[in-house]
Amino acid sequence: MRALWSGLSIQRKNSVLIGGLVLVVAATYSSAAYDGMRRTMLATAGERLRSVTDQLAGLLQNSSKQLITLTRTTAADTGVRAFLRSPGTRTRERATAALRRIADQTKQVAEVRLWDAHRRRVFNVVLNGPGAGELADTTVLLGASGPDSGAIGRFRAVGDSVLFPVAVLVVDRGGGRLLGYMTEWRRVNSTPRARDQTNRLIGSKSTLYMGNLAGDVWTDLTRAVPRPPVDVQEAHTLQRYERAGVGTMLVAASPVAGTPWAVVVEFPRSEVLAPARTFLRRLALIAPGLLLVGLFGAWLLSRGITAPLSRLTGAAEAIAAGDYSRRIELDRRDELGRLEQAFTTMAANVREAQRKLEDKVRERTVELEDRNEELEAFGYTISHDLRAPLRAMFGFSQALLEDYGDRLDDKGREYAQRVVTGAQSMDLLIRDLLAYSRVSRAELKLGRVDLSRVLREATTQLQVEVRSRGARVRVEEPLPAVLGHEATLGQVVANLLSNGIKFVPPDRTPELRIRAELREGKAGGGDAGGGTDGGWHLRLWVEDNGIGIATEHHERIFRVFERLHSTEAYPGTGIGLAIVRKGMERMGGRAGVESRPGEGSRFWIELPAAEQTHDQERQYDSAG
Amino acid sequence: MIRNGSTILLVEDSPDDVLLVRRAFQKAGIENPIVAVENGDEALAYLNGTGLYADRQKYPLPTLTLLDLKLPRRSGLEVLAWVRQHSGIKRMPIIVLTSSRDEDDINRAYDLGANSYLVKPVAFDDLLRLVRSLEGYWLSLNVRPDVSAA
Repeated sequence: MRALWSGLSIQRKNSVLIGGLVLVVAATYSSAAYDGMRRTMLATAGERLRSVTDQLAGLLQNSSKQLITLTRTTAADTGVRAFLRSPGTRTRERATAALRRIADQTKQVAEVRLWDAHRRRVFNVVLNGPGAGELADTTVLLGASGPDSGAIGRFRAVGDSVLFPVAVLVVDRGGGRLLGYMTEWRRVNSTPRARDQTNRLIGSKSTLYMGNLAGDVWTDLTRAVPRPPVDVQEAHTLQRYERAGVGTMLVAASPVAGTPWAVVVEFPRSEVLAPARTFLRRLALIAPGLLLVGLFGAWLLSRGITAPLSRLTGAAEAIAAGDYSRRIELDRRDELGRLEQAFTTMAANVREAQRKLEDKVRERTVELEDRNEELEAFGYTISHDLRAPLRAMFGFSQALLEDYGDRLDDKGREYAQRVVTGAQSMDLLIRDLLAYSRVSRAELKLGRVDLSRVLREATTQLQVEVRSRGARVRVEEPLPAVLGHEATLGQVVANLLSNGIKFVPPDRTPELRIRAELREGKAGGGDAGGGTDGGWHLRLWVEDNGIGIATEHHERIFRVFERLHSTEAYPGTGIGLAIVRKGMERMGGRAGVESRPGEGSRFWIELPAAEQTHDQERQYDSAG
Repeated sequence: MIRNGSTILLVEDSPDDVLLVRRAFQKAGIENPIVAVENGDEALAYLNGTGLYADRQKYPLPTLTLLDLKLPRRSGLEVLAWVRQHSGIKRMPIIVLTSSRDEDDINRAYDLGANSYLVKPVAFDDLLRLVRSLEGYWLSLNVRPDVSAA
């Protein structure tokens, strides 16, 4: 995960971060807003519910008073009074007619009952629809005990209908004499349309219920319904219950003063929260938009940062690759602008440093070349100036021996002879030193070299030595071509052959065997250009039957002026093998020896085998 | 009396070498007279027949010149260049005899028209062999061109 993250580009990271941030912010804000809105709406709704319920209760209280007043007006009818004063067939008819008049006015009155002063029922008339039937009025009669008062009784269910009694006193006109009682059974029978209008007035898909505080009979104003499952006596508290098929309902109840009733208003909680839900939905719709805007912003921002950064990176890579000409123009004054300036300054400094370094190197090279030339001039002077006196020593001591030898005694002749020998070895020494320095310094251009020809020329060069020792030189043809420098290789081979002939006991005939061996692998690390790895290499063996070399000397003998024997026994300058080693190194090859005292030596040199393609490259350096 | 047309001019600054060359000629039994001059200016004076060498009877044009390169005043290469630019004597055989094996010297000498380039051997026997070869080739076999005084 961590690796995945660190592998992302800054541009992607920024987008992911800012996108995530936008989402988190949007989600937090939405949830907080929704939550706050929900709470507010619930609180408001509760408040409204309670106030509506209270107002309804107040309204009902008023209308119950009006009902009592209305009923009392009816009770004051002369026909009714007359009947109660003197019940009889005639008065009954008058009373019935009067009551029917009322019934025509108010369809809600289902039945009217009249009672005598002893609360004995003396009359009843069913006016609209089914009457109260066997329902008792006793309790409500007790309630209507004062001359100005009346009472409203509990709801009763009769079939689908809900009835309630209104009881008043019937008193004599003018006097206060109690004639009896009258109860009007009124029907709660709003049409569904009227009920819905009432509900709409309250709003929020509310439903209004009325019923007895005792809880037995409840109505939705059109018919009897089950009591809402809440505590209807608990006024002013917001209650809730689950209604099947609708969900949570918010309920408020309020008792109606002066009646045994309570009024209940409920509405679905979902209805209350509907605006909050809509709000949330809208927020949810807005969030992707915000996310898109955020991502676009992040992309712009990242591009503003990463585009100059990638240009800087490109320039840095170019400089790393050695191209100092790359310029970046950002034209910004922010952190990136400063970075660009610092970068430009750094690039300029690096370039300057590089230029200075190159100048210095060039200077040094020129110096070195001068030194080298001086050195070569010095070598030339040595060869020229040292040889002149040497020639004089050599020539005149020889002249002395030839022209005046007969006038010298043996000792005199020996001295002169020693001058000759000394001059000779000094000549050899100078020659070898010059050869060694030439091999060390000369510029070698490598090319395809025919080993057979090199061997032939070296043998020819050594024919005096070969002949004087009667040496047998056996070259096992064919010898393949190698990649090297012909003149240097000739010098190397000549030195090896010369050594092979020289380091043989005087009583033994030198026998040399030269053979080639193709090997796979590394040819060694010379300082000339040819040090190639792998591929085929050619090893040239020069095997002799000489005195051999102890293992501990195998490396030493390749160093300059290293000798294992006196010049008396085996003359030489001690430079030959150093020329061999140096020459091979310069050609990118190696040289070595396998030998044990008394068993002859097997010297070898190794070079990359030449391929046919090297034919065209055959260029020979003029040195040597 | 010096035989006209057989004189050898040896331009050599080292008296030792002059002596050794003379001895080698003598040992080889070559009788050509050898005139040695020790610097480039003198060589020019001789070939030009001026100053000390105005007498052509006494100092005739050489049949062969052995020229050292490293000379005081005027170098051997300058002498060579000078000779090759003078119509009368420009065909004159000139052999460089020097101790330098320097590649530049060798190439420039041939470029300027040296007829041969020889390196002085250290051993006297070698010098003797060289002188005998010279006589056998340049003084006997070689057909000489027409050379007249300027």
